[in-house]
Amino acid sequence: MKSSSLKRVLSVARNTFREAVRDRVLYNLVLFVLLITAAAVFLGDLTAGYEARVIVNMGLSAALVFGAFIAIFVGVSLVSKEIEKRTVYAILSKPLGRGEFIIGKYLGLSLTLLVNVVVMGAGISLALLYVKGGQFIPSIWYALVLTFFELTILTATATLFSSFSSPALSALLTFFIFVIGHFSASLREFALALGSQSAKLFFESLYYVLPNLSNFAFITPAAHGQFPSAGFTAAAAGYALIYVTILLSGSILIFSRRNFK
Amino acid sequence: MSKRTLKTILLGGFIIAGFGLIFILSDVLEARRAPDPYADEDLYLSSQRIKAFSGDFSGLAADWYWINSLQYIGGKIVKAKDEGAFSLKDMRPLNPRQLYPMLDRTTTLDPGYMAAYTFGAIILPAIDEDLAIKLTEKGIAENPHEWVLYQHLGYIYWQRGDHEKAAQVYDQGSKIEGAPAFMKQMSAKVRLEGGTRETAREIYQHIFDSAEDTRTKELIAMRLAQIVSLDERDRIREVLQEIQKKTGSCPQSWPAIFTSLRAIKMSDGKGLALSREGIPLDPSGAPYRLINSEEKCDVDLDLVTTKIPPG
Repeated sequence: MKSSSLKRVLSVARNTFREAVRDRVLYNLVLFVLLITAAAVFLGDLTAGYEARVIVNMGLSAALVFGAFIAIFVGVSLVSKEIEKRTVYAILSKPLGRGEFIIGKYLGLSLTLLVNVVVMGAGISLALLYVKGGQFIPSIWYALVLTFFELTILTATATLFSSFSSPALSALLTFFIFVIGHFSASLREFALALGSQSAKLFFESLYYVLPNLSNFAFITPAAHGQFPSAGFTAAAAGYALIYVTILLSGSILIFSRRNFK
Repeated sequence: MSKRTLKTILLGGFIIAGFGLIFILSDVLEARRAPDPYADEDLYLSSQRIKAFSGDFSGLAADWYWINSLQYIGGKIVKAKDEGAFSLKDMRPLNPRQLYPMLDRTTTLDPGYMAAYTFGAIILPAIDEDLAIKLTEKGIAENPHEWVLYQHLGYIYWQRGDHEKAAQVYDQGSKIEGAPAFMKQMSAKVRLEGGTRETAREIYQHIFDSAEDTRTKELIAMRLAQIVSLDERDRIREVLQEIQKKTGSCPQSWPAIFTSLRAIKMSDGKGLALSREGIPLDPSGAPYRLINSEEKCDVDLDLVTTKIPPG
């Protein structure tokens, strides 16, 4: 990518991030902080001394759920909002490629999600410092890195759907992908259990085509203080990068052919 | 007053009055609610299915079942204590039939949930020993490197009176890397001494030291207090028999034998805890009861005030 092209992409990304902040997307952090604070204060007696574990599970699950909702609902409106408000005409009349526009939008929302995940991680760490009397649990940050990888895929999925479909339908489809992505391993098990060769092939193909989001599931091991291996993390990062590239390529392909007249 | 202000006041009034009515109605509905006939409702989803459904959130679901199991048995114990019908040895009258399924779900959702195995090993033997063994063996199968699970299994067999099997399990656990030296010692002790009070004290003390959750620690602390109380009652009984032999009658009150009670020394070198009035106190701080009837001259727990369960 040429440096001028990179500048244009970063400019769109910066504006998308600012827009997300202006739209109060990061307000979800307030709710998250309330949840974690309440958990830190009240869980001690309920869990018989296992509040740290519950805070990790609850905090990381909340980071994933909140992040997924942002990726879905903000992601699907990334492109459609510009079309609806007709601002897309003004943007694309400038020396900015449609591909640059899509990538910039995607990077802007990814940055928003990164900030969200980092602040949530800090919140969980503080709550753990409070309940564990100053003890730091580093494993949560590895889980958060994997959660962020998962969210980047989800954002790319939302971008893809929003490049050709209505926001409501895109949100629904992305949500389905989020759910199915967590159970795609079951698709393979199902395929193996089937007698019919064609059905086996169908479900096996589905397993490889749909994103396997359970590759990024590391919440429960993190609660036990376990770390993913460097090899696993690298493979997960590679998987996310390739998947995002595929989805964004598809989005650019569709968006480039759209007629706005 | 402007129309707008009036509108604001009116709407604000509606909101406040509405919440006031909701507050009253909530209490009315609560008072008229039919008692829940399904307090012990069966868990209708299998553990494996819940694990499959919960996906990334299986750890959180495990926490939910863990908290529920604590609340479930805790509620039953509190109720039984209030009714004076609680025994650590036999909890079957409480009918806690959902405890095992809840702990089973917790450990299926997160097979490394050590607190659930520990809690199950301590409390399930008083409900169903076979289920206690089943849960602990499941824990060993999932976490073969955790010596503490062998300690729990050894405890369950010891509780059951199968001292040979308990010794074997302690021995197996002692061979695991990182297992403390006492596992080997406990194996020999259980094999040689079986169900003595000293063995019980050591077993409970080791479980107490290795337990991480507060509920298990509370239950084990109760067991340890029971043993201390049994020792104390033995020593008080000896004093009573001595006095009875000397005087030919049972003392009429504790203060009457204050000097003898103060002279008692327990195995740890400490004396008996006595109130200002000279009444001996059990480990929970409640006074012991003096039984001085014509047929009996003895000491017992005061079941009304003590926090130590009988048995």
